[in-house]
Amino acid sequence: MRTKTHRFAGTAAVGVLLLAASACGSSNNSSSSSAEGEAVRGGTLNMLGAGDVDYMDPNVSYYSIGYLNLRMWSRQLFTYPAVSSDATTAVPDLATAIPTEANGGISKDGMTYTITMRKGVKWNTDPEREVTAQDVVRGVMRTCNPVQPFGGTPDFADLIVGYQSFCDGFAKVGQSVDAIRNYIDSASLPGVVAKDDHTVVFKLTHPATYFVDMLTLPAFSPAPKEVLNYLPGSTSLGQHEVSDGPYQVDTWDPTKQIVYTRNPAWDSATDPVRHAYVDRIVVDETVSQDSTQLQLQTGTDTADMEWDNFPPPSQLPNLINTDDPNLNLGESFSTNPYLVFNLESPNNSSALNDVRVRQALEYGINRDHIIQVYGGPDVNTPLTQVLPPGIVGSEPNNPYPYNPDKAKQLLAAAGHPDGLTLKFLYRNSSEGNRKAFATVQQDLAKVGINVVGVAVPNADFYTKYLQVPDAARRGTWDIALAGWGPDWYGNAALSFFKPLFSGQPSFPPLGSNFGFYNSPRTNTLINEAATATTESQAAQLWAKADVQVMKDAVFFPITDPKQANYHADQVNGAVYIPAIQNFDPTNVWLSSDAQGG
Amino acid sequence: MTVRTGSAPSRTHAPDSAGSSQEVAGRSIWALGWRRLRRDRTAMISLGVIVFVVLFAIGAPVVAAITGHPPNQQYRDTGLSPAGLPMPPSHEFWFGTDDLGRDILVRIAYGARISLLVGVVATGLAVGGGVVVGLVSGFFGGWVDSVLARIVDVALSLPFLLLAIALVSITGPSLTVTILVIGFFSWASVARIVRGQVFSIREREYILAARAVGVRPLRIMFAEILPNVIAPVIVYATLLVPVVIVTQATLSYLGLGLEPPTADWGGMLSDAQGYYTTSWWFIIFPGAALLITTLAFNLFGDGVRDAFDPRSEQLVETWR
Repeated sequence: MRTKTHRFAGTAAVGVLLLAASACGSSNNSSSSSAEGEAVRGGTLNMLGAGDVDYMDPNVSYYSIGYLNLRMWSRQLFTYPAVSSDATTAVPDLATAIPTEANGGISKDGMTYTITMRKGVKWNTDPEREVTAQDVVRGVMRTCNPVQPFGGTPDFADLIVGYQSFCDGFAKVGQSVDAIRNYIDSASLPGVVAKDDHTVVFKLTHPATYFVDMLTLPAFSPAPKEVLNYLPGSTSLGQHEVSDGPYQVDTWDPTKQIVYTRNPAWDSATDPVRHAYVDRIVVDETVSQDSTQLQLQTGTDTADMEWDNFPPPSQLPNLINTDDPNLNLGESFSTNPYLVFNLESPNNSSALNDVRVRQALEYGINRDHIIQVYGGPDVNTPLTQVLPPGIVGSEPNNPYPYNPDKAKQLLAAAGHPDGLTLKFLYRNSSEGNRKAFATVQQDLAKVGINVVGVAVPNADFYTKYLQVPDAARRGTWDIALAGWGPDWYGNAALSFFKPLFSGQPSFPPLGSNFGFYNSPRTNTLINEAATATTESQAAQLWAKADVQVMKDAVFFPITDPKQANYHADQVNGAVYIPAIQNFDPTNVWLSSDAQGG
Repeated sequence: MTVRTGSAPSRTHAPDSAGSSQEVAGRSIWALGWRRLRRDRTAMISLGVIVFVVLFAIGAPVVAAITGHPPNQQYRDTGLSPAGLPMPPSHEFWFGTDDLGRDILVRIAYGARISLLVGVVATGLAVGGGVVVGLVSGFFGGWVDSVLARIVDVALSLPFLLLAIALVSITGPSLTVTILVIGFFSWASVARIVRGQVFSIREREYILAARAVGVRPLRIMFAEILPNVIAPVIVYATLLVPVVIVTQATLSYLGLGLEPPTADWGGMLSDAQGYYTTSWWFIIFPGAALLITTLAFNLFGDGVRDAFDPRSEQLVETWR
């Protein structure tokens, strides 16, 4: 999914007092330290952030902060566990076991998945009611509702039998609650069927070794019938959500606060994934990035964890150098940021359509310089191919080591000995973006390329530029700075290649192939890898696709950044899960002397 | 003994304290004002600081040449830590570097150009426009005055920041837009002052005489009235310059300033926000430059006001 590129959110000046407090805070922290050992139940977990969820609706949310929120109250068939060594291997959540051919979960031809659900998992309805296979079917159906469809449907639209035609029909029914309810209750989706109350059967159009990982998407969460009384993704639905997880949304004041309290219908015996030690979670969405870091460091009761504010990049070197135990640098398995080239730009007589010109850019942009202004190699591992390490199919490949002379030669060979003028599109509110632009501008000047900045507001970046095909075709931009993370983990190469590089179906506005790359060879490789019958076969094919995309020089990968997270001293058992970009709040406990706030 | 009576002599000989006689000459308001100003230590020091800042701005290329660092050149090896943090003041970078490894001292010098340019030009536009409107409004009176006075009222009630943000987001950041926007929001106060002043002298005998004789209105306004109302305008203008400088820095701080990588004090302060815990020089030096310049203009303006009209402190309406 699309990720924010590094945000260097600024803040108004904080008083000298807080500066002094932070200086004193680091010495205070060493005394208490995490009380490992017996977990303490109870207390209020305070999370500090600056932003809100995208949607309070599991079948529609497509953003990391939305996922963090869903971790508290929405369960899926499979999910990622809070196991620090292995937080990217899916485990059963609502399902009883990972389906395999041996246990009958996967048919011989790999195209039918039969999944058995746990008994005794309840919704917090009145009276409490079991979560059933019909709820799972309803959830999948809601993903392509006409009001607010889930943004990741291209990943599986042609994978689940009958999904595409179900959605085509759904798009025609209008945007009222009644019309949506009627369609879901009456239309059929042959690819997702409830064989009985506790068995779901998925039928696929081709074998997909990544299917179980894909089912960790919150979009595949079950949906109780009560949610059909509200418009999908709406605020009123968010105020009346139904929970099957350890917590429930007690109050939601959009952009201000979320309060989660214990869900009385949750039975810990049915949930091997979440321990839910704390009684209450309070999310404050009005805190700046700097203030969050300061509060977490001073060890006050009212500041325990981050919500969507991460440690300010300027302070990371210090935290790293002092070996602060409350800092975690986790793998993100993403490519963020990266530079995408507009192959359809008419500028410079369509220079970017010529692969030699793009390869000149690959040789002429200095990756290490950009990494330096983003915080250095400690926090930003250089990435020189499509797939970051850890994703099935990733193989190290560095086809374009920095070489400005070679860049100049290629430009001359392509008919541009006097250089070019290229437009660089970036978000003006992001300090990281601004610095990346200045760095690329200075480096490409050495190769004879004049880079001109097109700084746009955050809100316009996708909606007016990248997702608008006309903007690219008119040449409003030549290079853009974007970011991408996987939708799920492990066997997740599909969620990179399909939305970014798979030709016509991935063109904007439906997909994120902003540069309009369309290579028959790459498209074939992607199809073969997606339909491979074994994981090792898939891995080989993804690697080949990776090499081809790099050869065609359609984008410039920069880094697979580490995700930095910080927690206060009193938080114990914090395990980082890449899928929520944070420590797992449903598995932390607070020291007994710091339960309040 | 007989005493002279009657006409006041233009020259008399009066003994001074040293015993020798000295001519006492009638002086113009300008000469008197300048004399009073010269004796005001604070004002003179402030004037010196202003002159220094102006020279510093003019000599920005010289500063760049001395240090050997162009203002927009990023020094990644010596000017940035490996983790991308700014480097502190050192032998090579006297004021340290910013978050892209650029020399802060040189950027302050080039930033002074922007601040002074906008300060002077926008003030000039505001004063020019305000004087014309105030003169016309005050001299003609009647319906002309009614219409113009209402226009001035409307201009004074426009919410500056909101409109500035809206305008710049349409047109994009540029020096011209900044100058025009600030100038546009400042002329109305000047117009009000001038109008009030004109009203107070338009019934004087020499004005009435000029009108009776048939002197053209334009000539009366600019040759007779203007010189007699200009003093408060000059005071106001001197006090307006620092306000304009700070306003421009504010706009730039909010991201409505100039295109990157142009060096400008407000922009530097905005960039420095994220580094105040790790790199104090990044905020202190541009902040000090802005503070010192603004303070100097303010103190000099106070001195000018005291020199030209020491009796009336409330003569000048403070700009909202």
